[in-house]
Amino acid sequence: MNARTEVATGKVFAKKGVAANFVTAELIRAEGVSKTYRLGSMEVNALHDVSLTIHAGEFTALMGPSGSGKSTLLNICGLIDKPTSGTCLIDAVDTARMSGDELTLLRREKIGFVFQGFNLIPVMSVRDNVEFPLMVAGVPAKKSATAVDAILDQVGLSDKAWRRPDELSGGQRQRVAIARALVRTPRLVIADEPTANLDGDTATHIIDLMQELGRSHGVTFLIATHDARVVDRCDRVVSLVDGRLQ
Amino acid sequence: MKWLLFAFKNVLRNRRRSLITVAISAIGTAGILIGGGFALFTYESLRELAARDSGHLVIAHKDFFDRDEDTPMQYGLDDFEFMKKKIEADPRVRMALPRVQLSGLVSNGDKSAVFVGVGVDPDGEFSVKGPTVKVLAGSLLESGPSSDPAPGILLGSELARMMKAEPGSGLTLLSSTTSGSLNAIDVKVRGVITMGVPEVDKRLVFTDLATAQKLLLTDKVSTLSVYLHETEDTDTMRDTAAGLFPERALQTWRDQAFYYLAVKGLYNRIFGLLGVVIVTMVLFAVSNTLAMAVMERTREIGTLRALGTLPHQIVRVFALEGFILGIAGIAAGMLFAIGTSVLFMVADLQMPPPPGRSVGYPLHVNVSPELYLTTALTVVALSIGAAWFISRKASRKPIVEALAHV
Repeated sequence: MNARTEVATGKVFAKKGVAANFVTAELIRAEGVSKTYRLGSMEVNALHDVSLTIHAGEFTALMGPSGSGKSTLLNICGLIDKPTSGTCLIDAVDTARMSGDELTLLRREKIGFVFQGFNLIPVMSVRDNVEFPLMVAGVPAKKSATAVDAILDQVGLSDKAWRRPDELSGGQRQRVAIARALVRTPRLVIADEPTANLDGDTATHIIDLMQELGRSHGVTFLIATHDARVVDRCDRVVSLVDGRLQ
Repeated sequence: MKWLLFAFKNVLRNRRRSLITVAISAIGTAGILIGGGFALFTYESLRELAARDSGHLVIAHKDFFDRDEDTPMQYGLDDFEFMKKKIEADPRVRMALPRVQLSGLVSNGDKSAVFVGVGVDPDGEFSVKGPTVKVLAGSLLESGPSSDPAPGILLGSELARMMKAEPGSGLTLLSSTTSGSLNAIDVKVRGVITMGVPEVDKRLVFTDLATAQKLLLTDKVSTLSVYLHETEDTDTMRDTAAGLFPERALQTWRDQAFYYLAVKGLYNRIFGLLGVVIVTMVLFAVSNTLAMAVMERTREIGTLRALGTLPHQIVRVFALEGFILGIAGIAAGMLFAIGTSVLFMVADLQMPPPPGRSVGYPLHVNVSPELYLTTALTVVALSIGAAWFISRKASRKPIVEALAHV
């Protein structure tokens, strides 16, 4: 597949030297997505008629200034928010008419999250945090332990498995969050400003780790970021300004 | 198990707050258990007192309880010996005691006073009455022939004081007979007793059955009191006795225990209200703690929901936290209540005499498995219910809103 790709109505770039080996079928198809918030008597249009397709295996950056609608689009693609109009298909499944519980189960099955503030559970150890999505899904203990061991090894935190999040550095916490997002090998990982709270070197390491694990696990990444270092490492960059794709 | 562990860790997040909640639950639980245990002890004591006084069952002539007699023993039992033998054959029966009720005047030669007396089988009667009859002077009556030609009586302490009588004093009992005439009999005071109720002690006379019958000129008795080995057998024994003596009237100790029923009714209201207040207090304490926990963890709830946790799984975590707080409070409260019960028992503390009585009673607190179980289930159910109610809304909050919560 050609490294430069035009997809749907979004302006999409492919970075030089980054092979999009895993780009195959459509994973996300957002069609005419708009989102309007009501703030008191005012209506704020966060997204205007956004149509975007993300293919399986892509490592995509979603760029734009603050208030451009990056997080809103990310939330809709991550099925934690619903568009005011338009549809969002995940793996060809139309999510528009799904109930809250159905969306939760689909999210559990196919989507992992990495948050800017890590959002780890403070009372749980590293290992328990990573295991949490498996616990929620009712994965048997033995299978769960194997999966957790493997992913902790891959993020280099095997020796810190029993530490609690407050005993870790920012970079280590984000690695725990990445391990948690990937432990069930989802189809898609949504990352909202994953490097915003990290220093330069750590941010680079984190983004390299995400890219490496994304490839090894065949996972698609959709990352909202301002960080040029992140953008440099992405297969594609999608720009949003004032809720519209550029 | 992992959910329970997660909930346990959550409870320990704010240890001071959880500790205060557990302490409030514990104090509340202990309050219910100690108050309820005291009420149960009181009921048990009064029940025992009532049963010792009247017998578990009272068998009488069919009109005895409903109609007033025109002459003494009009509604008496003449076949009581046969009935006694028949009912004592039942293994549930400890003994059946005939009684003759009489009233009249007691005189010391200078002064007379009204008495209300009972003719009894002394050995049987005073063995079932046990500590409810307290001998202040002299001794109890005994069955069988006596060396003293004058029949013996026991006098209530107040009546003895009025008659200036003491053991060995001679008195005369005067009463109406079954034929309507008056009869008198000289008696000798064997002992001065108290039943713990001054009003009773002012009128009370105990004598043996034969003396009472001789005074009334009758061979009947008023009632046959049936004492059982177990109070719990009262109702079944009542049915049996009703089958054995269909022509007779039957009452259980409950029918005669007006004081017991009045106290039980009063205590049920007092301790019931106290229980409701305490349970409400525990409910508010647990609710407040969990409401604060939900508020503080709204962002985390959003994260858990984003990670695929269903709303009912979120509610379950909080319900488990409520369960843990409830169980911890109950365990501590139970230990405290049991400790208090043991302490009261060992210290032998006494309660002051209740209204209308002249003797106090021991301050004991019963440890009742039923009360403990009911209290535990109530506190746990309320804790879980409060957690469910509080977390239900938060678990349904839009994830984006929850994640943005500060």
